[in-house]
Amino acid sequence: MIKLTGIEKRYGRKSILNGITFEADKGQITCLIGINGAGKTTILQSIMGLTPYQKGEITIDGEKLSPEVMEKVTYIPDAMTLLPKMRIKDAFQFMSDFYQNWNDERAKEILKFFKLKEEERISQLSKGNTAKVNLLMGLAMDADYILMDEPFSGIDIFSREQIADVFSSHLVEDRGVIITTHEISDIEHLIDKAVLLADGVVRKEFMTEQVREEEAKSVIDVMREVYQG
Amino acid sequence: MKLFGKLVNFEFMRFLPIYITLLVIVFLIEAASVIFYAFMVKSEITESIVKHGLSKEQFLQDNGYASMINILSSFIFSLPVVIAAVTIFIYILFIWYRDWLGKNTFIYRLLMLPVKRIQLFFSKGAVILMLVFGLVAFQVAILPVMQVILKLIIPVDYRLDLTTQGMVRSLYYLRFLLPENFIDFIINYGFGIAFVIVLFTMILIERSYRFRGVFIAAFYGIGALILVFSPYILQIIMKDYFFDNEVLWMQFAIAIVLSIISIFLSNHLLNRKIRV
Repeated sequence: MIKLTGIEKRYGRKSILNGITFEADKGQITCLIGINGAGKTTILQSIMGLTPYQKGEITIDGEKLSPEVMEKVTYIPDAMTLLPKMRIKDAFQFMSDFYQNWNDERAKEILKFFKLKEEERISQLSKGNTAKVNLLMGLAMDADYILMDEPFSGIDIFSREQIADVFSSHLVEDRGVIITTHEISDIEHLIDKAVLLADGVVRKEFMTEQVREEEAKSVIDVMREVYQG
Repeated sequence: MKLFGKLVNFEFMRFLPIYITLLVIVFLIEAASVIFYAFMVKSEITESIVKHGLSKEQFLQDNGYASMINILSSFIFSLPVVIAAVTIFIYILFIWYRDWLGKNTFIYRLLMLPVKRIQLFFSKGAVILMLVFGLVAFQVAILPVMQVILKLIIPVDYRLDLTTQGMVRSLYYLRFLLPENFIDFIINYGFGIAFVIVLFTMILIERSYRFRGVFIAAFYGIGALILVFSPYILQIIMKDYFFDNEVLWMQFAIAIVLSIISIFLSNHLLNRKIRV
């Protein structure tokens, strides 16, 4: 389980996170929802140790963050993080050189699934394919948890559908997924838990199935209640 | 350790195309300056002996022997090495900033690698050291080649050949980079390494605190510089109380302490303060 307790983060005098507390379990898809600037990306970056936070604690399976613990987590940012001149196969080599939990077989399976070619250069990928390669790099690792930052941002409908298909496939099965998005419609039916954020605080946290069954509401209905009063 | 080796290799390979280009430039400009010098001397010989009927002895008395020593002290021969050294210096800054400011934010990938983040610091430092050693080794290796070029153009009677060691001694910056005794070698490279470590730390301060970090880094750099030169200040205050050697050793000790502090500070920044 990834557990955040009272995370506070400021940039200068501006407060970004004001005591964020939530948990994301293995085997579940947890969705961080909020408008731009709500602190979604900062939360993921804090978990990965990519941005410092001033207060609070983050644990993964009860352990504090360390290089060993971080091997349990893979982060898929919303921007390409591989060198432009790399070919996809170079990126595979880079990952297999450094990560013990890199699964080359799975990488090739996802490559095929997304209809990408190993010879393609990162710099020549379209926006949709860039998002797919990003996703591939994260999913091909045998990590217990996957953090995805806005995987649907700015890409065409067909790529979105392909990426959404990943969530219902064996590629994320049994893994804990934390996904951020402000475009919930693509994955609403797939998420297990929703964490609604606004102004750096958790406004509401709920299990989607429970809300659907007990209150007959969709995630979007709950969002309307929370954000529009 | 294995991953550290891979990191060093990866960082080195990223600079390799530029580095090879630099080495080729060094070779071509140095060879061109040798060829230019050799043909100039050859035409002087031809003119003096054939046109003016001077004897060999008279010519040598007036002009001296043609030798690598005359080329090694010329500006044009040193220029490509200065260019290479400046490029490597710029690369000390670029080696960090390109990971943040490049087309794709590669720093995400580097910081997420399953290695202690200080290893990124050491791997980049090791690459800088390798580039410097490589440049020095290349320069030493091509000196005999330059002499062969001279030999091919100037007849042996008009030429004074140098040993490779003699050429190394005649080239100012190689005297500094390849000193005769081991202690000087340690001191020269010790200061160089300390400089790179402090500069890396300044970059990490800036990357951690951004705008505010520019001032903190500048303060840190100036502070380090004052500390390293403080034995000189002490020497002035104490009216030459210390031997020059003692001042140098004090500076060296301060540089080591500063390096250790900078490494600890960089480790802290990389683990707790750095931002993508």
